[in-house]
Amino acid sequence: MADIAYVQKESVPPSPPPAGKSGAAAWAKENLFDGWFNSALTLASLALIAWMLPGIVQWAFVDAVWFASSLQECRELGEGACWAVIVERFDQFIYGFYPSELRWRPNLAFILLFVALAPVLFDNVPYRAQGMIFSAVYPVVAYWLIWGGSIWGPAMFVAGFALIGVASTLPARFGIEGGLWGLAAAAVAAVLWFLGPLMGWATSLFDAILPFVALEPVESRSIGGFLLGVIIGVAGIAISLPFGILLALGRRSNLIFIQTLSVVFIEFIRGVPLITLLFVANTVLAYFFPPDSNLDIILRVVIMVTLFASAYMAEVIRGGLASLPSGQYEAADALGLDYWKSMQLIILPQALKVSIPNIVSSFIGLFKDTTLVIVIGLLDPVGLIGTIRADSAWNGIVWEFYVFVGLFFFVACFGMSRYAAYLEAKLKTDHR
Amino acid sequence: MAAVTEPPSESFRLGMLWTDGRYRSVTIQIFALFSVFFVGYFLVQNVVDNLAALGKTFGFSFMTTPASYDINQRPIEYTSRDSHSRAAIIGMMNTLLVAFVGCILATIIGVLAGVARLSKNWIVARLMTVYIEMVRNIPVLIQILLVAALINETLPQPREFRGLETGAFVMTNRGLYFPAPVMGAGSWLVVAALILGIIASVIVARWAKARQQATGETFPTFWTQLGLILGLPLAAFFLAGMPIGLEYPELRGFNFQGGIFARDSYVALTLALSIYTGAFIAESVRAGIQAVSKGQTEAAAALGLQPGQTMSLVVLPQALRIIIPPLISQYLNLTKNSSLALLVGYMDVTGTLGGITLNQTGKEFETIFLLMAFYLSVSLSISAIMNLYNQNAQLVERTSATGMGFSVLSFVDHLTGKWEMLKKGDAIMKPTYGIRRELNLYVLFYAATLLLVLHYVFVERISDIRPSYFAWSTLHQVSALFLLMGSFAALVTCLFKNARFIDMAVLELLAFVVAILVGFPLTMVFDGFNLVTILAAGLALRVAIIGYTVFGTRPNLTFFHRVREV
Repeated sequence: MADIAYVQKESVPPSPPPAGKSGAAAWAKENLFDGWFNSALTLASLALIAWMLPGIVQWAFVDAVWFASSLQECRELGEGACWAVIVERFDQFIYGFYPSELRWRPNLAFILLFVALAPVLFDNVPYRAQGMIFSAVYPVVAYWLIWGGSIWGPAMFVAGFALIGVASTLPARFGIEGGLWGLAAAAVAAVLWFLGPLMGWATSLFDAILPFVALEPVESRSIGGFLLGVIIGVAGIAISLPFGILLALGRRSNLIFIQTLSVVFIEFIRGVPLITLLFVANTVLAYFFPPDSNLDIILRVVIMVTLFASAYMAEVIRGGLASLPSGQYEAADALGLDYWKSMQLIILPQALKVSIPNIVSSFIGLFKDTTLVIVIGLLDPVGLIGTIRADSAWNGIVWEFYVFVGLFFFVACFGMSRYAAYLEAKLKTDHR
Repeated sequence: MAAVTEPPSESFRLGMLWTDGRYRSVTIQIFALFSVFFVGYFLVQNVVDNLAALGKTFGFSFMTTPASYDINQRPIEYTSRDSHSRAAIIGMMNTLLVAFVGCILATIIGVLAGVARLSKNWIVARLMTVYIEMVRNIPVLIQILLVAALINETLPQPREFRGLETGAFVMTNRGLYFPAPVMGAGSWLVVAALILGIIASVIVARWAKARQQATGETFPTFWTQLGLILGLPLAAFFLAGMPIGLEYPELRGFNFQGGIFARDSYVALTLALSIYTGAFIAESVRAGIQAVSKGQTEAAAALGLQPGQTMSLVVLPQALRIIIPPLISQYLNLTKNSSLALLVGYMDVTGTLGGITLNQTGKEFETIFLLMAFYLSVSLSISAIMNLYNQNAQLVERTSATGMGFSVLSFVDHLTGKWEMLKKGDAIMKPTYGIRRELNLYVLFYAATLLLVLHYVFVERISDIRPSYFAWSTLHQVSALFLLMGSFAALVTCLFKNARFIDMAVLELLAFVVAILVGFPLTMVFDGFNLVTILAAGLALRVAIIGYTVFGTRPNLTFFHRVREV
């Protein structure tokens, strides 16, 4: 009588899912054979894979030849891809015609690039302040390492900036107040040092005293391969960043002349293909400089690529600036900060943070575009394909080159784009 | 007596140019102006010195000399005896051909791939991810060369088709052959039927929409339209006794003859560019579709719409708003990337004008200037055209349901875009405030002026009427350029609804006056009018426009006013 009520003491064990609702078969039914259209698509895709993949694997791996000295030998050894040409010419693809005994220099410059990047990218690096100085000097160091020559030219170039820094503090030291005087002193120093003869004199003086501090010079025309792409890409992005920031600020400025100037520049550069700018670098640019100045071809390319990248960078940063709520600008005004202070302390840190993923994307785009320097005869990886094919031993190879160069770019660019996606996720903070 | 605080001194000190916000912006701009001026002077002076040292001159007269090189792909008649300018025009046409076909193909590929990447089908989505990520991360140059190599190396040579039955389409390593339509007598009937079908389908669509608005009954518009557009021409085709035939490519000698021939370099370039750009378009399509919130689909389902209707009436219109701006920039990129034609031997404008003409004549400045001007005008035109669509697709907020009828002004509004809405206080900075709508007439006026002058200066057939532009006297050349630039600048400022329109109008007036003074042959531009009429009408129109802007609905909101304000 008292036992009529029933109370469940333990939890009921979960029943197994009904048959056909779990497991591989159910997943396939849900995702692959859901209706006649999906089934047809699945079968077509499978057929495509079955048609292409075995052939590619057979060609690229099974029948491939990795070591041979000529195409003829390759063809005797196997039917598939002749990777031997890549193995033999690998160094050339990386360095172009850079002298082989000097290749430690670009290698060192490449390693130092990461040392220079670290303090800029991460704020918990030990000795960050000193590292920043190295980052600032790095471009000149890399230039000296790669091109060689006497150290005094690059050193005096750096010294010029130190001099400008010292000059800008001089008026204050002598008791003349006001920001304008420091600026004026810096401008005078810059004009005297860089445009006047001073830098040249100092360089020849040091060259006469200490001529042995020099590396063997390397011709620009012998730099090629991926090294060339990295040089142009990194230089273009690094130099275009400050210009891009200025242009973006200019485009959003209230000063009508400055705004018009920025808009015209940005829209002009974005409206023409990079090839035409490279034509300018190759043929016309030299005319814009004094008759006796002999500009190096890579320098000319870097100048034009920088102009090109600045316009795109400006648009990226403008996007970042536009994404800030106007309350940030108003708050900066309310604190009584002037334009540059508010930009420097409040607006730009946030806007740049938002733009970092897009900056990486535009770097990827620029890195891919460096292959275009082939049109002015520089030997980037694509240009080297023609050079190697001109060799009678390898005449007739087609696919291996494209696959290798394409794969290299894919690995580099895909890696960077993943990194950008990671950064985007990490930096995502809502402005609410 | 308590000390009274000193009133702030009002006297002007030099330092206030920098420290006082009222003057600083002027100081900065004047400084910037001077720097730009000096840098420009430095650069131009260097160019003059360098050119003088090399014994070169600046001028476009080389454009009329014989080009003496052949172009294998020519949409219009061209021989090597024709001028450099005609070679350049052929190159431009080739560029536009690649850009046009490439944009269409890329859109098709991109939309399909973007939708497929969102597909529930696991394999299809993964395959599309692989395609998109592969293509996006490999330089387009390598892809173009790869496709060109695929065509040249894997497709059979024309002679391998000897003795074989070739169909309507032939793929050889020299290019693709398509059947070409041959228009026989009476084929105009078919064309007329097609046009009739299109007009009828538009009318049907309007009628169906009106009926649905009135009664709520739907009408199978799509199938009716399809029937009209396809059925009418087909009926006409059979009634007229099948006047349109197809000409198949045939092997004659070493090559195919007849049909439409798409050269290997053209196919490679178009295909590679479409595949490359398609991957980027796919990503924006995906982003656009994903951005439409799921609630929209559910709401549509709750209203009882079918999946197809949900897509076309609810999801796509919203997604398009997000998709179109990146789509525009992808079209621009494709057009600019078509300059890589040079590397597969397709003679686009970079190959003719920037390649052979540059090397033959040694006129780097002139050719690169023309090249850049061409790409710039194409880019600006594409973004202008696409902005129209973009504006139509933009979110429309709280418009009145009535007054949507057709009028010239609203039509012009559609063409040139809406004026931005102004806030209180904007009136001082925006001189066009209050006369926004009427300014559209000025757009038309300046567009007409620009087209007339452009037509006369560059396009009109050079014969006994006038010498070629490049053979004019320098004064005439400069005045023509000045006139063109003036109306172009005025047009652009009107088009983009720029507040500084009035400055441009004044500049344009000056250009007109200068052109008259140096004797620019205006009577030839405006064929059939005498000079006095042209002068009077031209000056009156321009003065009226400027006057109306200055003293029109809202006086004193002009550039001049702004200067006084500072």
